[in-house]
Amino acid sequence: MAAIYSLFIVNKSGGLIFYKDYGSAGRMETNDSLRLASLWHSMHAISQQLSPTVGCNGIDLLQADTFDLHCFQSLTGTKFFVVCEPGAQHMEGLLKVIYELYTDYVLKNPFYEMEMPIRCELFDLNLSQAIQKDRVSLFGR
Amino acid sequence: MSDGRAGSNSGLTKLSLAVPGRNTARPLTRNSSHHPSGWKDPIKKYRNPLLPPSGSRDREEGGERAHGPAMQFFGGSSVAEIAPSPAAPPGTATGLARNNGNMLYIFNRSGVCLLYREWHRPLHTLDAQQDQKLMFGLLFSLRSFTVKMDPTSVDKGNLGVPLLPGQGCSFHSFRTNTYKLSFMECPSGIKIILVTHPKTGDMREPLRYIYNIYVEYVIKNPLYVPGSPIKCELFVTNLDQYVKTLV
Repeated sequence: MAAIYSLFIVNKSGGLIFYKDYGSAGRMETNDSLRLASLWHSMHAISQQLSPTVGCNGIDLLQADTFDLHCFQSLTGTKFFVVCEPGAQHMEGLLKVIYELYTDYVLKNPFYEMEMPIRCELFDLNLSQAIQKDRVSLFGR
Repeated sequence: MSDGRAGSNSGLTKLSLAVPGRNTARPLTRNSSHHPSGWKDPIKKYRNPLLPPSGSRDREEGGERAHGPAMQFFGGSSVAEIAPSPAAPPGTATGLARNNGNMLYIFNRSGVCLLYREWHRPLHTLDAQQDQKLMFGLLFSLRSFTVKMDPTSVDKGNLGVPLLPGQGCSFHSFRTNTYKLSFMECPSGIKIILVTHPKTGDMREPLRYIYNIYVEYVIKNPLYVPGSPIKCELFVTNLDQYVKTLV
């Protein structure tokens, strides 16, 4: 049982720049993951329009029947979202950790072009470690 | 049609006072709605239709809720379980007084907004019609999003194909930093959307309760034309009263 099903990183214009699956059922096609990412981008924007009060920053948490989706948007508009089991805790913390890894290993990589798909070995490595650690801590409880 | 609504409400009162199941002695309770004696009873009487018709069976079925769409939708009797008193989920510890409701939308299956209620909404970005359209569009897309995203099913179909109510993985709420939106879709395609303070608790039961009063006061109103905007005074007052109690 995986606590986390998948991770998406979406750039500020809604393009998917990183997608990793951690054991969801069935195979997600590349095109579908791209579509879902841009769909989420627009849902996020529309949710701000519908806010009853000022200062809405878009959806943080979507609770579906079979999963929870936690989303974190950085100041520059890059969105990180994880799909996890319903009721999974500490996902905000994990998203912050992933953001930190992104700034350290992606943005500081001189060969990385902004808003382009992420292909950084160090990022992948540290990310899988972070997710692993998170899983271990989840199992430990 | 709309000017006849004031009269329609009194007709509704008569009917809902004599809902079958309460007066077990009389088999044809619907006919008794023409009996004038019950008309001027105090408001307590109105609540009676919302009591569970036969308690024990409902309680067994409604005990567990998170059984997937079939249970949620078709366990109609479980709706009654929460009915007796419009109590909000206790102990949500928001540190807030009552009045957490921001607004409520009811859509039918074709996207017509049957009812829009607003209790606390300082910010209006669009005019009412555009706002309702945008809301329906958001829900429609979020539904196809969750169906496609569902990590537990293998065959998810194609993104954007219209879905039947209750088909595939649905969602029940989302939260932003300024509001929480709770969503319920029933088998007939009626969608109830409640927007509340972000720190309010689980709104699935309150939504079912609202659906329950919708059935009692709107669907059972003989003058209500299905698909037309809801103008039933009794429904709206009951709704307002109930939403005030949400924490």
